[in-house]
Amino acid sequence: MSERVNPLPLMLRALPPVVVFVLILLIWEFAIRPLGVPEYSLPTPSKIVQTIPTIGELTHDAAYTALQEALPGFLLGSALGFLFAIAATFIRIVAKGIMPYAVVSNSIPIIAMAPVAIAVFGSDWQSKVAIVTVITFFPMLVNAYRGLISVDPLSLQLMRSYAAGGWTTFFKLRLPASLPYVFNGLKINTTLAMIGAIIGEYFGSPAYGLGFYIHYQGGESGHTPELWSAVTIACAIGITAYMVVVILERLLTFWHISYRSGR
Amino acid sequence: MAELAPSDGYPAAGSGDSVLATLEQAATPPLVRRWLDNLVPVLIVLVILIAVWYASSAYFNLQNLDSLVVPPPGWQKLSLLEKIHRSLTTDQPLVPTPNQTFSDFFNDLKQSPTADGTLWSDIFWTGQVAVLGFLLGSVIGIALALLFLSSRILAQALMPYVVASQTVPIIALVPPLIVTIGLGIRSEILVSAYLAFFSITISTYKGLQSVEPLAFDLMRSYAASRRQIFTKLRLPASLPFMFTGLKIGVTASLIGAVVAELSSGSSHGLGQRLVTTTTDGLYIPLWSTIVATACVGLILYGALVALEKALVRQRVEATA
Repeated sequence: MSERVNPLPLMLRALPPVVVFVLILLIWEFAIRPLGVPEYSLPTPSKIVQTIPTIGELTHDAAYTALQEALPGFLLGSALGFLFAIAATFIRIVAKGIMPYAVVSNSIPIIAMAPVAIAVFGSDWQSKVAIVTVITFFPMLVNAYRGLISVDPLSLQLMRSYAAGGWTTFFKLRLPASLPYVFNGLKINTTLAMIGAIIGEYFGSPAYGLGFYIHYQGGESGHTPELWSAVTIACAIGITAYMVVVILERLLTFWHISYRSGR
Repeated sequence: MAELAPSDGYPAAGSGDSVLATLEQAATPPLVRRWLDNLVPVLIVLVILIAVWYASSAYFNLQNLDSLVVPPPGWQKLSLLEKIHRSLTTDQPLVPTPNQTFSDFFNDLKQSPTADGTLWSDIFWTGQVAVLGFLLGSVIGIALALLFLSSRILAQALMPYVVASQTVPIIALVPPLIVTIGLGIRSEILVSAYLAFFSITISTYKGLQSVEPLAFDLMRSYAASRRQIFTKLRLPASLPFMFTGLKIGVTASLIGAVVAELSSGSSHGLGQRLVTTTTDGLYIPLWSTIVATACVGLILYGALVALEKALVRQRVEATA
């Protein structure tokens, strides 16, 4: 029987981050000017909030970067990583063949691949999807593979003694056991996807997109409120994506030790 | 049983004990064969990767040469095979071939390691920033995880901000960082550490919480102190998770070191070399810089794998 979440504890749980948030905002708003931080290096939160609605193109830029670049790349990279992890779990030669390359390819900074991808796929969204796919592939591969092989040998023997087939063992044992690791990978990938799409746009874009906007405003002197507005929007998108993954994790891995009481 | 024992090179099966010994010997292949077992799959994938690399060099360079406003003299009259040959040997390729890339890479490595402006000096500079950034990021990452473990309220209050701080695009944060701490290696190390700590915090925190409740009951029934529960149960249980985070973190710290060089106006480092080769359209040196960056990552990652092997084996021996 699953536990019903009591509304009051949920509100209590939400309280600490809200308190910290308010504290940070107050310090930021009222203490940075007296501390001598100039306007051109860090605008106040109220200035940023006032600036966001005045930038008309921000909605389109954010939607383009998040939905057309980061999301497809995130889905593609995570799905490919997971599929290769499954292949590596069942076919030993695949594991032995590709895991060493997970190291090598993962060590290539995306920044190095961005000019290559743009030279090859053009400056529109396709090149950014390619970059995001590459950088999200390996965290998922490493995490999912670790999860899929984390199964207790005793559990495997139990499944065998029940005469469970390969697929039954996979769906009833290996897949559920891998989920906490898989969600670990997905959480890392949400932020990597946004960073990859934004940095990719620094090297080439069709003159719109969140990364292009940040890069452009960063080069203009005195445009820090615009720069920080765009950074704030990028931040909000990243947090929203992360929260979606956390909610999915709660729904699917409620049985895991780290969510049980009595820790 | 007799037909199970290999006929040559092994003692004949006699008593029950020696049959077991023989079977054990047969089950563990000689060292050379085990090496081959591990090496052959890697080589197969390597051959596939090199084939894909050559194919994409041919494909993209061919497209590139075809789309030139002023094609090479006599280009239209060449047969497809000759065009492919030209695509693989052009000295201004869009995608250099593996042999072009690696001959350039090894030529660069032949230069004096101490001279300024060589590939070696850039490797040492970026490697140093990445190692220092990783160490700082690990200390911060593990400390945060321990802090979150010790106080649930702190975890609930700060965890969203650990995440939020990482969704800020790193390059946007480099200019303010440089304004406050000044140009140079310190801001590069900070950016590197900043990129590394996130996965370490999340993985370590998750690992520290992944202890079986039964194991806690057992420790409590032994009247173990809080300190003993931590060092003998929680910490060892968290190590596999922690190392997953550390391995992602070490790569992230290298990425951070490279990214920081893009905006910090540094005159050293692999990141700077990527910028100059890209803006000059010199794709062969660009690719050999990518190879050098990958080598640095491989060395750092290899050191962590060795550490993980040492620590996790120790744990298994302790529980055995």
